Amino acid sequence: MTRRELPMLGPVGVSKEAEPDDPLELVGVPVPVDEATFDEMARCLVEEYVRDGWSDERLVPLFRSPFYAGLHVIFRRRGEPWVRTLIADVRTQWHRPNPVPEGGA
Amino acid sequence: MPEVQNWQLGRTMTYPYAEHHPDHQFAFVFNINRCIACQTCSMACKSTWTFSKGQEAMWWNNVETKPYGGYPNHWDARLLGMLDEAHMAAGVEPAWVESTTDRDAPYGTYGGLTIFEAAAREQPQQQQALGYLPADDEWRAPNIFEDVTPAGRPAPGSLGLEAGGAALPEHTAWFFYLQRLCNHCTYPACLAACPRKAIYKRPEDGVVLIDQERCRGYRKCVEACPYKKSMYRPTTRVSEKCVACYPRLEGTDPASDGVPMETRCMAACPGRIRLQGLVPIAADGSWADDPQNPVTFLVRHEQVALPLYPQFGTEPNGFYIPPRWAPRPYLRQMFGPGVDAAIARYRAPSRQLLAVLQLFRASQKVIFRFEIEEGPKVFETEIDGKPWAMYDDTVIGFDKKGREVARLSVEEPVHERPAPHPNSI
Repeated sequence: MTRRELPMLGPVGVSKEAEPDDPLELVGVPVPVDEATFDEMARCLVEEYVRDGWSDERLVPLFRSPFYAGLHVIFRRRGEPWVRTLIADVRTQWHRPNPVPEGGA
Repeated sequence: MPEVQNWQLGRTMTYPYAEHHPDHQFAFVFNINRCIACQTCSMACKSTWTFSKGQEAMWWNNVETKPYGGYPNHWDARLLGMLDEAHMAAGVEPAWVESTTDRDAPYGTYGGLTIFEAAAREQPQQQQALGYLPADDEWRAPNIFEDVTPAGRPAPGSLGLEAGGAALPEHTAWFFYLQRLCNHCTYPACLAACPRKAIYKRPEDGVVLIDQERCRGYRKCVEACPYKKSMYRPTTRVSEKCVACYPRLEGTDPASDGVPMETRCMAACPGRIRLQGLVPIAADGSWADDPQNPVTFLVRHEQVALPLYPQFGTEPNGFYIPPRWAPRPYLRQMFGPGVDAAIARYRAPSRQLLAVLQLFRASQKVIFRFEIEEGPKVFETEIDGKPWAMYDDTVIGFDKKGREVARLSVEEPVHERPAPHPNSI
């Protein structure tokens, strides 16, 4: 039997623009936001983790991991140096230095 | 039709029944900023109450991804659309008129139609509340559309899936999660719509229940509840809804030690986003002025937590600390005009608020009263260009019998557990 590729399963959807009124309501519809909103989102997420006592060693890998989509989108758009600077900035503002694990770094 | 006072709308409104208010009201505050949608709450509820045949698609508690997720699908967008049509037909502008610090109208006065008022304008009147009956397939998933598939995964050849994946536009801004359960409304639409009077609100705690003996499964409650938290069970042919874990709430659960306990969904939250309470209600139906009750403090005094879609008019008793980053017009539509002030207060919390935020998930017991012991100033900083100081205060929570059940400081010590620990496998 000849196997035929099913076009609807292929990556063809990559090139298609999202249509907000698509009756098949295919997953997400992007919400337009400005850079200030993006920065506020990033700062809020970092603040919640930092104020909870997370160390850089635990937090930065979350940004790197694509499975943590909310953090990863920040990482993808701005890069690791920007994320690290933001974490450092939040640590300074909230007086939360990077905790050193018991028994040394 | 009787006129009832709705403090969330800052005015009276029509409702099929006259006002009767409980002594206490089951209420809760969710901090959306902290939720990661792990669905532990959903599973805690499901494994307790809805694990039986006929309840497969029944999630009394669910967490949905906004703006496009919903359970049932698009419940809120659909009802907002219906309300919009009603406003256009009536030529009414659904605007809020700002008020000052009026205690009876903390968010201003709503000039639009509630779901009860919109339904009453239909001639002849068909429904007690504007609503619709979701189709079966709309209940098929509690949080459909959550994840966007990134390109390149899964790995080529794995599970026979396409190597390229199915990529969708990347979101510039992360969406937020909305945690939902029955709001045990002050003016429940489900109760208003029931032709059998099978739904009642308990006088002791304001919990809204369906009498399973009286219910005949007409599904008028499913149609009328704007939050779609009344659900039909085909195997028993009656409707069911969240029961607010009443054995825990009554203090009859073996683990409760005779005092009210938080519900399963609240007690299971690992993100510490949930705080449940029983707020004292005054004789006139307003919230009694009890600033030492943590829920009353957050909702009425700090006004940092807001009701979900107050414009529907049911006076829901679930309150949300709105997410800081989502577009403000969207949030104002969802939580009313108090959004901007609430976010400003959460960004730069007052000394008391910072302490009370520590009480979220601090105890399984319902906290009826808190006290704050002042601690030293820890540091000063600037938030939005304004000076702000943190104090290491200690917040103490007390249960119904006045016993201490929680004691936390603002500066919580962090302990890193060593890799080999006492219960390591």
